[in-house]
Amino acid sequence: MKCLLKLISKSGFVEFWHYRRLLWDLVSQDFRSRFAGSVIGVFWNVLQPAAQVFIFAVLLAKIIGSKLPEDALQRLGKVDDPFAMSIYICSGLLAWIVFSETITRTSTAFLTHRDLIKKVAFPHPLLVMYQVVSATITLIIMLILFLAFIILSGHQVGWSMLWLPVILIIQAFFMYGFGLFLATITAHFRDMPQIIGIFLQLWFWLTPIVYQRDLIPRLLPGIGKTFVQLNPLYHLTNLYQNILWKQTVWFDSLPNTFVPTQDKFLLKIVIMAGFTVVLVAAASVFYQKLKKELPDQI
Amino acid sequence: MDPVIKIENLSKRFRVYDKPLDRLKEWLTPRGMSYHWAFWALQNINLEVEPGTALGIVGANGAGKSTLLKILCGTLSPTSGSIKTNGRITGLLELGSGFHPEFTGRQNIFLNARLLGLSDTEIKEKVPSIISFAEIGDFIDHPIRIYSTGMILRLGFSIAANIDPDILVIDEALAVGDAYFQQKCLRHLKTFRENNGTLIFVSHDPGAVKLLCDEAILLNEHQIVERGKPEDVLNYYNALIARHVSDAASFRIEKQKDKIKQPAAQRSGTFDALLTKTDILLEGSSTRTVVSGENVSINVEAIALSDIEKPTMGIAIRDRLGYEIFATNTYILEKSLPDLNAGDRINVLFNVPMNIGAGDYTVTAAIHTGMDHLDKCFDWADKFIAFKVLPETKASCRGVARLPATVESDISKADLDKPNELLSSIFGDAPAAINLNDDSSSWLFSGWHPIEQLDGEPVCWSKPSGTFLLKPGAKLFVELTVNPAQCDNSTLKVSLLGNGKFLADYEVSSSCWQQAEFEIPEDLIGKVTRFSLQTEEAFVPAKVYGTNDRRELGVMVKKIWSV
Repeated sequence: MKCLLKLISKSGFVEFWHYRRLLWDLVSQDFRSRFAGSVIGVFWNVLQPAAQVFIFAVLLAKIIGSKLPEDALQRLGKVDDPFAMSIYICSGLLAWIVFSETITRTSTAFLTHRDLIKKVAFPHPLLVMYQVVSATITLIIMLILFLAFIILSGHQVGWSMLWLPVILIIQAFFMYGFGLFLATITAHFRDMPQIIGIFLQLWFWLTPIVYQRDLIPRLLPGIGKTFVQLNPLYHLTNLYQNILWKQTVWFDSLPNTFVPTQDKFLLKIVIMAGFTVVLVAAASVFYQKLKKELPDQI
Repeated sequence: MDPVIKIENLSKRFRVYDKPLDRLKEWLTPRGMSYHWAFWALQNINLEVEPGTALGIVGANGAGKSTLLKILCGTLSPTSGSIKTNGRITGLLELGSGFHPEFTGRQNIFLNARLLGLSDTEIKEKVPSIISFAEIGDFIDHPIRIYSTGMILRLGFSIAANIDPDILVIDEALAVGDAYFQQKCLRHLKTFRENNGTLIFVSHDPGAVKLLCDEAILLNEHQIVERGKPEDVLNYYNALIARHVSDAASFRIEKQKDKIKQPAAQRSGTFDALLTKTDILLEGSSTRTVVSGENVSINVEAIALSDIEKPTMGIAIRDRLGYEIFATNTYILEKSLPDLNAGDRINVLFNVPMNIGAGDYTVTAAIHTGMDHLDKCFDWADKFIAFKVLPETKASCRGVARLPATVESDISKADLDKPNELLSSIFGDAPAAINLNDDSSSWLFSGWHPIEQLDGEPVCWSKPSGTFLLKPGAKLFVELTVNPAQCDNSTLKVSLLGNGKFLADYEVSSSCWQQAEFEIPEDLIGKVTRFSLQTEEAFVPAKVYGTNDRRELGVMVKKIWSV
């Protein structure tokens, strides 16, 4: 218990509370600079992921000719529905897009704010935190638009959506832990952003987002399944998929039953939350170890 | 009283890695393996500062001054030892005290204030005074990235100084500001001191350290080597520099021996005698820094290589631009030197009160015969040594020469019955009309903005009170206009004063060109008269239109004439 309290105080969240006004200033300025600078502002932030979804949908459905998995077909209905593939891909892709952008950005959080770090004393993880908060708000906007898209394209939105806030919070903390870890390393190794770029590409294709999740276990019998299970992003995107298109989770079959029908939804949430707690704790300890030398090195 | 700053055995080590890979190796190999070399920027610093002290920190580049300040402000952490501070510290470290380039000036004020832990109400209270102190106008609502260096400094200083710090840390940055802002900052720092604030001030300007600080420390090679009164510490510092310089000079000469190069000091002569040393002595010890007005001795030493009859030795002081501002020699000072035999060493001391202004100077030395070096010059060492003259703490004059000025004053009654005669005896005959496009415009005196062109015609804005001289007839006309904003709600009253007395008013009710007519009293007609045109309210375009035109304007005038 004592150890846990110490960890919490070390992780810096208490300090964030103290600097909450500043955090909010940074987030709102971040939004303003991203939206106000360009001609059609907000539009770009929607258009970019939309284009990505469109490319994957066309590529997979028309060119490669891949089909929706059986369960998705059942759920999303008609075989020739042009929107079914988009909804299927979007469910996992939106979370991935925000995750990868945030990781790329936060990894240089200390470097880009070196002027501030060198001249004023304040808790530096704040710089990672504000970018994570900003990214999470972006994801929320995207998800709202996506839900509108689902409804407009004639599909259903069920009770499972009530789980979204829980997943969003988990994802935010996961990104914070990851970002803090990478930002600390990048302060010492300037090569990190390049490495992260390559690493994210690989990671994307190793995570079942635009292909079915039994693909890797099929290609790599034996270790394939464990490999997928160890990938936190598999759990994260899969949770989003369960909520957004499958909608076969808790509450869904309300009032008939309170138990998730399949996919071990609750277990996955626990696993993902576990990943997150370990990551945030590890990143905080790592940061604390190197914190003293951070301003010397940037 | 408890010290506000207490530093004990503080050391700071920077790890320097030759290659980035070395750091990775160090992380990945077991403990104890090291691939870096340590750079100790500060070693065993012990320092206590009492509240209300102004402490100057001097030292050469790389001595550790900035590192010490950063540790004080909490941006760097010490490697060992401890530091305790009491109260709020604000600092101006290098340039721009931690600004976000995309934030506007105003947002950066909030950012900085929040970083320093101020509450919302406190911040709101202080924002107006910060903005008005910085005087950067409308730029306050534009992003910092478009600011000039001077503006960033202004804002940075304004924030640091205006949020009521207990300890204020200033790191050399003031040098960037213009003379006006520097003066303003110095004034502010003095008030801050009077209110018992603690000031930590790093500067290479000895004058500023002497002016502001009541104590100083000298950092040399990462350690505090001296602490005491600013004068003493600065003298110690100068001695250190002098030693460093002479070491460097002898090193250079050593090197030049091998390369057979022309020495940096330009030499000429027959070299029957060689100048071996020139030095500036202050109270017997060598120095290269002199306070204006101090009595120093310039010591010149020469060694004769052959027999020399009746030598003359001389010195010249040149300013930064090489202009000779003072020269003398033993011949013109009527001090004849003895004949020299080969191998003799001669030492001459010129006692000179340094009555010259602050600045950088060089000393040229020479040994020759007769009155000047044109006759027979043995050795001429141009710009042999350099030295610096510092301003006095309480300067009594400005300029290049420190002439011993005194002042007296006396008041008596002057006959002022005919002021116009006095005016015309000084200015000659004034014209009856002032046209802006000919010489008569020189009769516009104080209180007018420069003549500008409007639609191809010269026009001139008056200041709220514009003076001119004229020989009037019975009536005086002024062709004038005003800005629409000046007569928007009410008429603008323009008054004419003659020889300081009120004559008449004219009401401006529209912004078109109009002829203002004034009656001239009998006693002024045909006589040179000092008029002034006064408007009751100054018009500042910046306030009305938000432009950056901050001039105080009265009326716009095209022509003034009289019939």
